[in-house]
Amino acid sequence: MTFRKSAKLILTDSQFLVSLAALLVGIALLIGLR
Amino acid sequence: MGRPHPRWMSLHWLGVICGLTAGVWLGAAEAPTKLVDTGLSPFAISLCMVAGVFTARWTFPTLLKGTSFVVADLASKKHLIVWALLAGALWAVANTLTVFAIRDVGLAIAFPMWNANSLIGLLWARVLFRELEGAGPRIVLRVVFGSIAIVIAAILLGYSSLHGDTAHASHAGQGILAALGASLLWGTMYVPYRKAYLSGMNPLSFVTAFTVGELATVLTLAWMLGGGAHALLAELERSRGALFWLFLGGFVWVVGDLFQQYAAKYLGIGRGIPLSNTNQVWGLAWGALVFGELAGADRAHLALVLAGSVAMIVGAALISSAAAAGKEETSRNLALLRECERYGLDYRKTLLNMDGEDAGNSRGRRWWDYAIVALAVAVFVWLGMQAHVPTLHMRFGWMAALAVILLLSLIVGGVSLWRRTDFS
Repeated sequence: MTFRKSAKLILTDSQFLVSLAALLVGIALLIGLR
Repeated sequence: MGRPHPRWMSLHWLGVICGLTAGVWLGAAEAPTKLVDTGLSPFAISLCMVAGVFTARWTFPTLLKGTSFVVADLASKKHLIVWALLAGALWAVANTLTVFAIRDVGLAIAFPMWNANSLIGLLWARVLFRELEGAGPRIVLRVVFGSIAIVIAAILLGYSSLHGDTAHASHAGQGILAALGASLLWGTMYVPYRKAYLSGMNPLSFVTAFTVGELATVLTLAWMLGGGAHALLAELERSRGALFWLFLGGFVWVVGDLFQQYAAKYLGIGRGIPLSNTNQVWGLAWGALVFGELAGADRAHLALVLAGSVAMIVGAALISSAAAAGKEETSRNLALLRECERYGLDYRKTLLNMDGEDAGNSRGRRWWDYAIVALAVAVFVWLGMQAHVPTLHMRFGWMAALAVILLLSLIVGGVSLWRRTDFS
């Protein structure tokens, strides 16, 4: 599997998007709470 | 290494043993940090513990499978490296959020909020991985009530060890947001865990990439929020004598986390995570019995300890008796099939890996494995030689008793994993 195809699969995976969204929420909270 | 013995023990009971062993070790991980009596900032403490976790990963766990196996496992499922790094980052950000939560609302309010992480994990388990799908109502009720009982127990035990609150009421909203954020992140962190195991990855491989993500994120956060590299280095230099205890805490934590990973693999996150969350009762045992933290506690506090301990045992018993079978196992295999179809994995091989079989992937240890272990151990010895032992009253009889439990759980958990799956 090529890197590009693999990246596309990961970035369109609902499980990845849920985890990434949680991380972004966490980082946003950290920046806001500083 | 011995061949796996499928008939020796069911995977459900193996997962239960791993979950409970994780609880014993994760609970003990805080004990060494109680010996840190210098004024290190929370960022520096977090960084040192995670550095300890990273270093400890390369001590005896290296000998379980060897680096050749781990490298081959990671190379055969490259897409999962991103997931493991993500899980490490989620852990690190959540841990930092708890610092803010404690600062702004205090432990009494923040603690119950982030302890609900196992319920968030249960939600993701059901929605994203089809756990409990097809299970009978009795099994579902046992898992749900067992998880709730363990959350309530953790809250009761947390309250029992509180002595006053120094929170600033003016920042209450911010503190609650931080605590809820930590709960969300620690609950979501198990999504990558389960994802990796449904794809047949070995927990030792996952933890390897996980600790890299964890260390990189903690380092970045400590750098950005802890006053910069110069301030951080100066702080660490001043507190050399305390570093060993934080590294030791990291060592104990990584052993617990490894068992937690195996629990997530063989039980799923809906059942495995609440069982690992029994760590609260062991953390309290170390605090109360060894460090005398409940000395002088009134009857109300002792009643909380008793109620919390009973609730935790009931919760653990409910989950332990809720083995997946029939349609629920079919749902798990469908979730596994989704991974195989999406990422081009071999279904049969992945299924074998998921069921604790290596599928011919086992490799021996090489000379560099021993060199890595020697180097990692040398770091601990070097730090140990500089360790400062504070004048703290400790009850050594209880310490020995809890250490024996720690060792026994390691032997039972380790031998079970070795005999049943050869650490697969």
